[in-house]
Amino acid sequence: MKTTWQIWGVPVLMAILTVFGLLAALLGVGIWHWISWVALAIPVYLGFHHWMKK
Amino acid sequence: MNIRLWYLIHKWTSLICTIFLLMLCITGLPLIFHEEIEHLSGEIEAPEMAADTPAASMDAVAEAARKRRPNDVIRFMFWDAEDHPNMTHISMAKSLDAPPDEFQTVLVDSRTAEILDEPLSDHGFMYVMLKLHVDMFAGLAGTLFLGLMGLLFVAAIVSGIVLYHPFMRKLNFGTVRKDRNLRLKWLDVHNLLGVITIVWVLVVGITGSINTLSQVIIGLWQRDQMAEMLAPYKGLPPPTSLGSLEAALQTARLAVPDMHISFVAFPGTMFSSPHHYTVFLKGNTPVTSRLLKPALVDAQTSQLTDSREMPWYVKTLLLSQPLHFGDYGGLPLKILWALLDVFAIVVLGSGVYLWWSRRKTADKRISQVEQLHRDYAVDLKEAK
Repeated sequence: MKTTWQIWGVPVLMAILTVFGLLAALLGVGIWHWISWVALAIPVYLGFHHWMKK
Repeated sequence: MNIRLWYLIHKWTSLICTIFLLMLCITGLPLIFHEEIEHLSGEIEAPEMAADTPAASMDAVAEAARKRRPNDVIRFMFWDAEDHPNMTHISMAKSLDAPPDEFQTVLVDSRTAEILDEPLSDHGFMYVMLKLHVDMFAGLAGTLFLGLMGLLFVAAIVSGIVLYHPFMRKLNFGTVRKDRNLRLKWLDVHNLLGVITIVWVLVVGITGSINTLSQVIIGLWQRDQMAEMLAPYKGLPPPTSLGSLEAALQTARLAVPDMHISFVAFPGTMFSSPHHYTVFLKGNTPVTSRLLKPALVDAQTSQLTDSREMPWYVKTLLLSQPLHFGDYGGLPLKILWALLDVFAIVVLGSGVYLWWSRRKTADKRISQVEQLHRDYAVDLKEAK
């Protein structure tokens, strides 16, 4: 049996990265756009990684 | 609440909204890139000229459009210095009170007042995508219906979050069981991509639902703030002749010096009054460029009547637009937006498959999950 933290740790981290990424590009310019792209690319990568892995 | 109830909520909210959400996600995919697609499909631009070529009077620009379409009236004029430099978009219609989606755009060079193009806006692939996405060709009723589907979708996501916990009690994050059967594999993919996209689909879903209320919100603003600003004109007959547009724009620029003009609503249109050019200005930062500020200029005297910040509910609408469109962080953000949209399509599609493939044994499966839940409760007691 998994603990709540084991179940929700990664999803909560992905949620935080997504909120951060969405707001960074909205509130900032220049470097903040790069930070936003990286923050949003992490959950996207993780999704493809687990979905497509052998 | 017990798991069975959450499961029923998840099943029924999803079943009702999924077909519409699939349509929205699929039509939304090309819409993310509408600027790039329009660019590639040969949208006209103002020709290159010396950078210091002065702008023509906007009265001359408006006159050029009126000469081209003598039976139409001008309702709005738009400027977008970043995407379409030196170009004035003029939106004309048969009458001032024609339906909002019945218009003809005339593109005019802002420096020479020469007509550049009269693009047909009501045909083609992107037009069909947009109409399906916004109202399914069913007008305001279609739009509000899609807003309701958006709210059901939010309920489906919330119930999905609750169900994720019991399903993952024995699995590591990201587990996709590919070697057992197809159904188990798609259940795992549904849970994986669903949990990863929670925040994005909630943001896009809620802001989309807010956008469906735009006509209602604008109506509220007209009755509230607009009516207050127009109080001195109450009962006056509409003017028979209009003064200079260029003078009105200049008045607005002086009244709101730190912003630049985004568009002007002509007297008698839905964003204005019969007596005013209503000039909408935008700021220079990513956020303030979304928060339009209106300046009401008397169309006869060119004097400023009033200029106020938008009320909170209009600001909410204006800020919810970029968060729905994903158009505020360059091409990389749009690509990420599209990939997250693909995830959402997979979650929706796998959800339908999971329901279809196991309709008969779904009850059994829920019993198993309930048993797992009870086992867990017993484990906890024994551990104490």
